[in-house]
Amino acid sequence: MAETSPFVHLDVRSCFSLKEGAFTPEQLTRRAAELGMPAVAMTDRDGLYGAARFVAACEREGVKPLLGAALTVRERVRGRGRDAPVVLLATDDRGYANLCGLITDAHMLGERLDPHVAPAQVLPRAGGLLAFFGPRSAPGRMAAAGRIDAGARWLGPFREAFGDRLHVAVEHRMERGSDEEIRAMLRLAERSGAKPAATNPVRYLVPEDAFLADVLECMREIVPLAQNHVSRENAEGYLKDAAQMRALFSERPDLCDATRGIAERCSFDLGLKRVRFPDFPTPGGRSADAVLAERCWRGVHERGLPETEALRDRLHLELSMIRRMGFAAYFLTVADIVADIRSMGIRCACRGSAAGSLVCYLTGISDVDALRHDLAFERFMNPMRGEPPDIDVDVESARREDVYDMVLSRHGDERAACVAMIDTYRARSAIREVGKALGLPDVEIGMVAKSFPHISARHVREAMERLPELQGINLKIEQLELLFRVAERLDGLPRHIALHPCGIVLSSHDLVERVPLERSANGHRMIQADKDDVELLGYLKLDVLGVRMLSSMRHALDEIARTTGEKVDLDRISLDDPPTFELIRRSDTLGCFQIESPGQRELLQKLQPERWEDLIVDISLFRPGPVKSDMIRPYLARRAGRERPVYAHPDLKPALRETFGVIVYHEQVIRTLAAIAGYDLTYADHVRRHLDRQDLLPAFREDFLRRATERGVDPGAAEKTWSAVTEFASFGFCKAHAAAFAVPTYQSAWLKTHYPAQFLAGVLTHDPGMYPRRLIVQDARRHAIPILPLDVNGSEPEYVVEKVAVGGTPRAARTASSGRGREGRVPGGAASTTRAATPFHEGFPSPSAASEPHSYGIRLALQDVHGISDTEIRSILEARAERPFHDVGDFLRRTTVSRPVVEALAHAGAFDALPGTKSRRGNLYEAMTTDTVREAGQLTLGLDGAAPAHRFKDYTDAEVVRAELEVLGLDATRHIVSFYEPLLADLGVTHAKDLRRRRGGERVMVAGVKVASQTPAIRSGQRIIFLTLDDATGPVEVTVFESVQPKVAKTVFHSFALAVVGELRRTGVGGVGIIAEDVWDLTALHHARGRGELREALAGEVAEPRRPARKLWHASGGSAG
Amino acid sequence: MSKRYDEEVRVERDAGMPSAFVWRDRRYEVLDVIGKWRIEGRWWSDGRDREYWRVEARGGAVWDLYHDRARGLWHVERLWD
Repeated sequence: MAETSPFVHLDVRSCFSLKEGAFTPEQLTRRAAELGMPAVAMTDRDGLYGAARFVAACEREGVKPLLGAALTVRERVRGRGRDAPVVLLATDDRGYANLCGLITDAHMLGERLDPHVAPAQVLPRAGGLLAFFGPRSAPGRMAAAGRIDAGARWLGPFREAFGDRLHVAVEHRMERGSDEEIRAMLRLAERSGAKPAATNPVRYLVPEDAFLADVLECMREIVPLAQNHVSRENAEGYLKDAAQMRALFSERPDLCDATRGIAERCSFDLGLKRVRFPDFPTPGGRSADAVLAERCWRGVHERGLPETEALRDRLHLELSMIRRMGFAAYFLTVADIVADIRSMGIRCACRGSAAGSLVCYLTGISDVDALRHDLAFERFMNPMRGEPPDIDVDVESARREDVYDMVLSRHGDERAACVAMIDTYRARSAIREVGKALGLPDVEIGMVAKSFPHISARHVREAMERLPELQGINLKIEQLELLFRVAERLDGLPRHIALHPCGIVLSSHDLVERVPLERSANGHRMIQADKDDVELLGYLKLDVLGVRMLSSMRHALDEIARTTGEKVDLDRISLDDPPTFELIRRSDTLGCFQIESPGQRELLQKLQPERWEDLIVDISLFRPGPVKSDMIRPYLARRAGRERPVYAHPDLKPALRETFGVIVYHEQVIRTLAAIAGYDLTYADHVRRHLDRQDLLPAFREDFLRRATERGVDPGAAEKTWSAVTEFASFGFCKAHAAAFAVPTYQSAWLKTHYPAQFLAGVLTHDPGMYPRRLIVQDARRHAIPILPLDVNGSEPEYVVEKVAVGGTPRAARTASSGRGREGRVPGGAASTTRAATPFHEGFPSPSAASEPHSYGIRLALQDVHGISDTEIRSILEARAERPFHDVGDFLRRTTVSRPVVEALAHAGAFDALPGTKSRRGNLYEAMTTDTVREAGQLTLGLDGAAPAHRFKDYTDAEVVRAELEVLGLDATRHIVSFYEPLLADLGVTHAKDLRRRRGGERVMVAGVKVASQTPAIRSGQRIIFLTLDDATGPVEVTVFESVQPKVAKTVFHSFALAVVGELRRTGVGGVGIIAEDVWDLTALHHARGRGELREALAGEVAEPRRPARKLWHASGGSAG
Repeated sequence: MSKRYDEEVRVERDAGMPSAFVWRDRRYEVLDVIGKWRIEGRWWSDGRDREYWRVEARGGAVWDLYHDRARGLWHVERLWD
């Protein structure tokens, strides 16, 4: 048979037509290439989300990409909006700009998530665009209904605007009635003067995938799968090959021929990978390079750096590289943004490899002196990298939105926008949505989704038999297999388009001509491109990450200023403060940035940091790679002087001296390669980047060894160096990155050393770390910082510090609370520095004076009261700004706080300090019963007389703590485990602080509150439960293997305090852990002890007492993470 | 007038198109193929994949025949006479 003439598909919707197309752009192009198609269009609904990926894939496959979209055109028909699609294809730059503009208008002018345009909006933007009206378009529907003339009239203005670029799309969908429809469309074309072309509405690539279209459609419409909910009649909406298309249109081959002409007409090139530099207006026509150089020299003086030879050389090197690669405007733009962020009073830190640039340091982008810390610029910016440098800036998490608003408004509508993030289906979300579409019951679907997110359809049977929690499930195997078969295919398809958490694209004014914009859920301008697309499109971006630690430190600084009047400038504190390093060396670092985990604290103890530089090593070493590969041990041994440093070759000394011959940093890999083989750093970094490429490795090795020999290096030493490099390269860490992290790490440790109460108040407020708040409260108690109770007159939205008399009671607490906060702080407002005049203003204590921990306590915050809203908090602040509350009734009448929250406040003791209080139970009674309808005026005498006649019993200590757990999610007055101390003594429990003194292999009992539990997926398929218990002396890590789970799993999951017997194991840098052999519910043991049945309970001979689970403990675990 | 059936028929094909069929022991010769379409779907319940042929048989009657592709069987569904 003669070769079939080509056919080009012009109506193709990929998965970026969300919940409609069932394939990715890459799959589309691969299939088009397989079918030998010269070109293929991608025309997603109201978007060009996949455009960059599509073009990149087309370039790989050798298929010509036709870029377009199916625009939703909305008309008012008899008072109601009716939508119809028109497919637009761009022929040139102007057409693509018009298309982007139309899509942007469709999204920005109406409601979010309802993009559409009016017909008249399309007409002025017709330039450079081809338009296709198919059977579902407004004129197409008219024609199909026999109203050919009306359809042609409708098309009139479009014929005028588009001229010979107006087409009628003729489809042969092989449905009953297709023949009539084709005849109608051809007549419409004839009557309107539009040119007809054959198309097929492609929604899946092969007919076997048509079922996906059904599922997606039902998920889109949120209806259960049923014949009357599915619009397709057959499986013909796939990417048919040329022969199939030509067979369908055998009577009119010209309709297929037309598609080739159309493809040839489209000459638009998206121009991937060509870097588009941002605009930076420079004064007086000076070049950006000149302005940057001048700024850098100004920075040299501002930073107080000596003008050494080394500095001049380094600056020259960086500036010439920047000039050569054209990035000066980018650096200037970022430097301006960082300066703006700082001028807004927002803490800001540069992270990542950008800290390796001296230019970044001098322009204020980074706070790490790349020269002093010997950081390699080539690791950051390198012409061989093939990707533009990326600068990441951390800002206070609580102010991130403010930063976005500032950047987007300062850099104009056309030059800056947020980056999108494509949220894809993961197994779990796919199972849930498919289950809903299949009409399966929610509860069962939830159980299935939770129980095996990683299972494939083939293994459903097996999994159902293996997992005990699914034994009683009310679903048939066949239903589940269908569910998984469908869910598997959704895995990885886009689910919705969200705002990327940090990316801002910085561009020149042509951004809007190459990428459409839409609005994110919170109203930010967002491009229809994710971060990979941004890179493909050649735009430079700035990542602005919200970091809670920065907010925590900001809060601490505000609290320091408020309570002491002292203005601490964290950016100018001494970097070798001995007390700070003492704190770090005793690993008293709970709450500190990067160094608070159990493993990190263990490492700190071994490493014993003495200088700021040691923190860089510490942060670099503490990652899974180095820990596993035993690269820590030689380092620590050599550092401690137990071993001598070893160098494979003397030339390596300069690069490796700082780490005693061990390769720790990427920078050292680069320098090692350069030192032995004589590579320049640029090429050395290129080699480093590809050390994971097994295919390239032999050639690299050969070249390295040859050049080493040429330079007279002993072959043995060269070989040794090469193997050390390849061995450690994948574990090495970017030193610049670690150095950037070390800045906030050190600052947080410094704050904790000198202002522990203020620092921990910040940590409690912004919750930056890995531990629950109650552990931080416990840490405060260990530092003798009193935790002051919740108080409706004294508590602020955030955790604040108050001066207390030595001994732990608030000094003049009433005065204190009446002296501040009266202006009514609004939740979320961080501007507490305005409160300069406080009764605490007693001069400027030196840091050492502040280290008297007894002088400040931390007041519990309103923000963590279970169920309280921002509005309620505001109403409390406003009411008490007039005058303090004097009893519960007064509070109820003057605030808008809801009754359950008032009860919670009373329960947690927030009214205990009020003058009218007799007992907490009395307050709770009042909170539940007081009638607030009575006029406030009647009650101003203070003689409310509402106090009930009977006396209430006081809360016991245990009740007090339980109430705190219920309302605040933390045990504030004392550690919960303290109630069990007599039991723990009877049991012979080893406390966390004493575990390190026990030997490995010993059998010990530990006990504590469960603060964390994880069950990660393990490669072997085994389920392992990792637990962290807290027993008031520190955390204990417990591992529960599968072998003991049948016996203990229920207790482990359902109890909040546990006793565990097991083998003590030393776990490298991770410290010590317990391998569980048996587990008990601590509360159950406590009750058994009370009954004199402890021995029996331990032996498992006592039936567990039936008591309701303390669900509030779980329900109110502080703020959302 | 059209009548609905769902009965099996035996179909003879010529170049892929039905050329004749036997229904209720009587053979009908196909004069012309008037239309062809496909119906596929309901995979979540019974599942169907049918190729329909609307043909004119000798004698002037118009028939809708379909080929059940999953089972390889032909049926007559509708008759206009």
